[in-house]
This record gives sequence, C-alpha cells and structure tokens, in this order.
Amino acid sequence: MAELTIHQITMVKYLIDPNKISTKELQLDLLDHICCDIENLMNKGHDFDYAYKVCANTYHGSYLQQLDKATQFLTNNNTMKTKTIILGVSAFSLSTLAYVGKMLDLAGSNEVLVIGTALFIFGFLLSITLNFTRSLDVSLIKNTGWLGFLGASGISIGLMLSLLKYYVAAYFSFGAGGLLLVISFYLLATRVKMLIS
Amino acid sequence: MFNKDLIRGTLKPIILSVLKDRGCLYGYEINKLVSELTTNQIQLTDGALYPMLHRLEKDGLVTTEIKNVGNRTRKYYKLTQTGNTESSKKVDELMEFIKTISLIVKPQKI
Repeated sequence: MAELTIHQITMVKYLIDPNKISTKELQLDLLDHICCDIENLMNKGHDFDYAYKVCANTYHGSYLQQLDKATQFLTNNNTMKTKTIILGVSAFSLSTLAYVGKMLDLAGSNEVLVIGTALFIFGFLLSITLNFTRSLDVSLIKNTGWLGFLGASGISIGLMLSLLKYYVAAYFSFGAGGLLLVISFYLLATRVKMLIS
Repeated sequence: MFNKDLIRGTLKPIILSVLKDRGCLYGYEINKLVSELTTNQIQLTDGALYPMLHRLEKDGLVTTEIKNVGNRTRKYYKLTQTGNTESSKKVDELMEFIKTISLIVKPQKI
C-alpha cells in the first residue's frame, strides 16, 4: 500500500490554492482526498509524478473555485434565508410605521420612510438578488437578476417619492423601474427557454 | 452510472445512511463505499460530497474528528444523535418517494 511522504504531501498542498478554497476545513478534506487519489493510482502501479499530474488536471483552479462556491452556498443558505426574512420584516414594519405616521401627520415620518425604503432596497432586495445570482452558474441569467434588482429598487423609490409628494420624480421612478422589471422578466423567460431548448 | 441530477436529490439520505451503517468515515471512504455498494452505479463526486458534508455538519447532523493518519491529518465524519434520527426519517421519506414515483413511472412494455 502506497503512503505519501511529507515532501509529496507538501507538493499536493500546492494544488489547493488557499485563494480558491476559503475554509481550512475544506482544504483539509481536499488534501486528504487528493492524497488518497494519488495513493490509489500508485497502488495501481503508477509512479507519484504521473498520479500527481492526473490529480493536478482534475483539481484545477476553476474546479476548486466551483467546489468552494458550492460549499459556501450550501452552508450559508439557511443563514442567508433567515437574514433576508429579518431584513424584509424590518423594512416592511418601518415603512408601515412611516405610512401610519404620515397619515397622522407625525414628525419624523419622512425620515422613517426613507430608512425603511433604504433597508428594503439595500437589505431585503439586495439579499434576494445575491441569493439568486449566487445559486446560478449561468451568467446570462445572473444579469437578469441584477436588472430585476434595479427595476424593483426603482419602483420602491417611486413609492417612497409619491408618499413624500414628489409626484413627478415618483412617476419617473415608477416608469423606469417598471420598464427594467418587465425587461428583466422578459430576458429571464427567453433565456430560460433558450437554455431548456 | 446514474444521472447526476438523480443523485443530487438523494445525496443527503445516501450520506446519512452510510454513516449510520458504518459509524465513522472520511470523505474518500464515503465515495469509495457508495461506489462499491452500488457496483459503480452511483459515483459521488467530491464537488457534491464535501459541500453536503459541510452542510450536514453545520446543521448539526454530523460531527467531525481529526486524526493523524500516516504523514497527514484526516477528517472523519460521524452522525450525531440528531443525525441518527434524521437519517431514519430521510430514508423513510426516500422509500416513500420511490414507491410514489413507481405509481407514475412504470416500465415500458415492448
């Protein structure tokens, strides 16, 4: 049974670029996995140099990067979901509070409305968009996510401006946001259709 | 060998099951064991296995232990108490799913 020497293990370590694999835990898993792969090939009669080359071809930079991304996505998914829900509820509560405040002519309602809208855009919407784009490998679809983010942000700003009684700016924002949203949905639908076919 | 998409949906019960049967295993060993048990019909890629193992660890279903083996360190995975319960649940769920699917998908008669 082949067993790698310390020098050979050090060589394998060079394959696992710490810039590509962000956690020490995953680096440790992969180091052992690649070493096992190499030992397996050596047990079949190949020498270390050949086995090393085979593994170097398999565990190249972009493969490792993909593996790291998949691990990050799976491990952070629940945390991201919880954060997104908290951000959404906070933004909704603040905006509702501001709306009621404005109805009752309470001081500071406008400021609360701006904070609520900002939280909605840069917290909730951004978080949803990041979740969406991180879960996909197809850059064409990823771009539609960002377009949708801009569209939804435009509509949110429009809603805020209309409540602040800046009607012209609000209509402009609604129009631009709505247009971007429609374009993003259209592109998403056509690109998904294109990928399926 | 089965399609990756089919394996992806059953990865969690597969890992939990082998860990339940064998106790303490390292990543490469899980890969090898699954291949052997399924006569190479199911081959887990490390790109699917490690993200799932890390997820299971984060969810508290598996725990890890680091041991020195030869000239390197190795991470062993084993089920926690919660993982043990979850494993039975996932296997039951999968069996139920297979039964349900077989109601729709039937072997074609030639």
